[in-house]
Amino acid sequence: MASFNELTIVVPSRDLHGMLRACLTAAQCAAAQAGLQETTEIVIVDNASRTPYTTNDYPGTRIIRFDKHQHFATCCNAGWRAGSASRFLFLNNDVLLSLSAIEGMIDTLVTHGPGISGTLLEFPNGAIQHAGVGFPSRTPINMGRDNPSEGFLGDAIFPPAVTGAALMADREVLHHLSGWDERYAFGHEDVDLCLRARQAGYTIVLDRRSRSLHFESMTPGRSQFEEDSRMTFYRRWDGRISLDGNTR
Amino acid sequence: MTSISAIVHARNSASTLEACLRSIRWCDEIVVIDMESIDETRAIADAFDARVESCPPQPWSDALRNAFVETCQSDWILVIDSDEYLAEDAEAAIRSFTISAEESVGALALPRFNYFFGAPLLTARWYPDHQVRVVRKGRASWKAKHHVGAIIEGTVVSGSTDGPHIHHVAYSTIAEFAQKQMLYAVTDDYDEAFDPGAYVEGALRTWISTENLDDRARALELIMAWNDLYRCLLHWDARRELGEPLPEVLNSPPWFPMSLNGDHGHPPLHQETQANTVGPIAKPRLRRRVVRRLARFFRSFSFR
Repeated sequence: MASFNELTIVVPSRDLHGMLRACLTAAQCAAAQAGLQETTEIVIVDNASRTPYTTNDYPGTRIIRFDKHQHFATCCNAGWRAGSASRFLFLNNDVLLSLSAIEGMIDTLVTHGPGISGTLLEFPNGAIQHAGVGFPSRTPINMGRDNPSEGFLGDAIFPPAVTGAALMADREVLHHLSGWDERYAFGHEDVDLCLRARQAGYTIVLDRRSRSLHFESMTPGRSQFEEDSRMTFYRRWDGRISLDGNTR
Repeated sequence: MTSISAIVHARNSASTLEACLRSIRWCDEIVVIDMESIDETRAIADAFDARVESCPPQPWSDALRNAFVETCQSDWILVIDSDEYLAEDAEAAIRSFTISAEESVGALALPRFNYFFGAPLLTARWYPDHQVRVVRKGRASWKAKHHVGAIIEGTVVSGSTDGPHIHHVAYSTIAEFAQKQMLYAVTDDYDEAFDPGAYVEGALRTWISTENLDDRARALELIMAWNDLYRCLLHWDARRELGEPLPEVLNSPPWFPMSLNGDHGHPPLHQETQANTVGPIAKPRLRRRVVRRLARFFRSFSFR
């Protein structure tokens, strides 16, 4: 048993047992590929699943249980605060990481960090789901979304923000920013985190050497929160972001 | 701001106590009542700065609470067993309940997840399984019987299943479960009126209700049906020893609930079953035959 962990994978999740199992299997393979088989811990944040998760179903993980449905940011915070590693990977339960995704994200952080790194995500049909988040207008959007993903492979780029569906952050960043902003109900908390990290002088970087799968919006009943979240985001950031994502 | 004391009974509970105490470390006071444990129980309680009290081991722990609750410092008492724990967000929910509760409210009953063999069981008997666990000091008392909950002065609020739960790491083997049920049965009081029909009906209802369950749930229900039957015999034995006359109704058979076969005006039993798990296909004809046989056997029993 390793005496310290290099990586804590935090997976906030509600129901969708089969999806979560596949997600964790892929993440464990990617961690092993990065040589972190012994030094990765997995924290599942059970966000009020109707049938609670147990370590019987997910052996080798740690489960934090919420009985009442919580904001995504609250789950992320509970997860990283319970974790012991120097780096955290926040992962949605509907993301299947490619074999080299963790290795790539860590490598970009080591090279360009400290900061936050993301990875290319594609839909099952091969179209881009996430290749960095940008600000063509006041509302952040996933750049390149729905384009064929082949053209997006390449060297690391530095977008204004990356998605929270697969977001790796150094502990010092989370510590410095006091974690995720729990006022966001669902959505935009990831962009907010990245913007605050940039403000504090940290790097936001996107590894583009591999593509992982993201089904997107698998958990029902979330869109009701998204409008609230958008308003929270506007109140915080409207007029304070330039096109390149620099903030005032 | 109201304060909350937690009270936990423990006997050789080292394997589960840490998770329990970690989940209630936010309480203003933690009292662990140690029933002469010989494992690490006491050390774990000390590590969480709990006030440790001692008492001799008892087959039941409910009635022991009365004396110790008196010594708690807070306005509200959280009663939790050493094989139970709360979720991460329980503090906020329970504190907001105690702050907003009107004076007429005596207690909060929390729904409970029961984990058998490592997985929660969500069939009708085991979920939501409300338990009176947050009580106003001085307004609750417990009796020395296992199937009787706390006696509360005032109203009891039933907690929503969208809110805080008790998480009960119940049993990991059939043997453990059967042994515990037997222990409860033989140490119970049986001071109510003896009604064999209720026991037998309960047993058969339980047994019939297993047809749509998975194997794990069926096994537990079968033990619970068996539990009803031997409780009936234990109750009969206890009344006999006291020399009390049996209720006259027993002399006029059939006291046995004929409706079990669904042909006496009452709704057939299987309508009450929870069909939320998939099990083997039932053989209704065989089942009816066995039920009739069992019913005949119990009707022939005079319980004199």
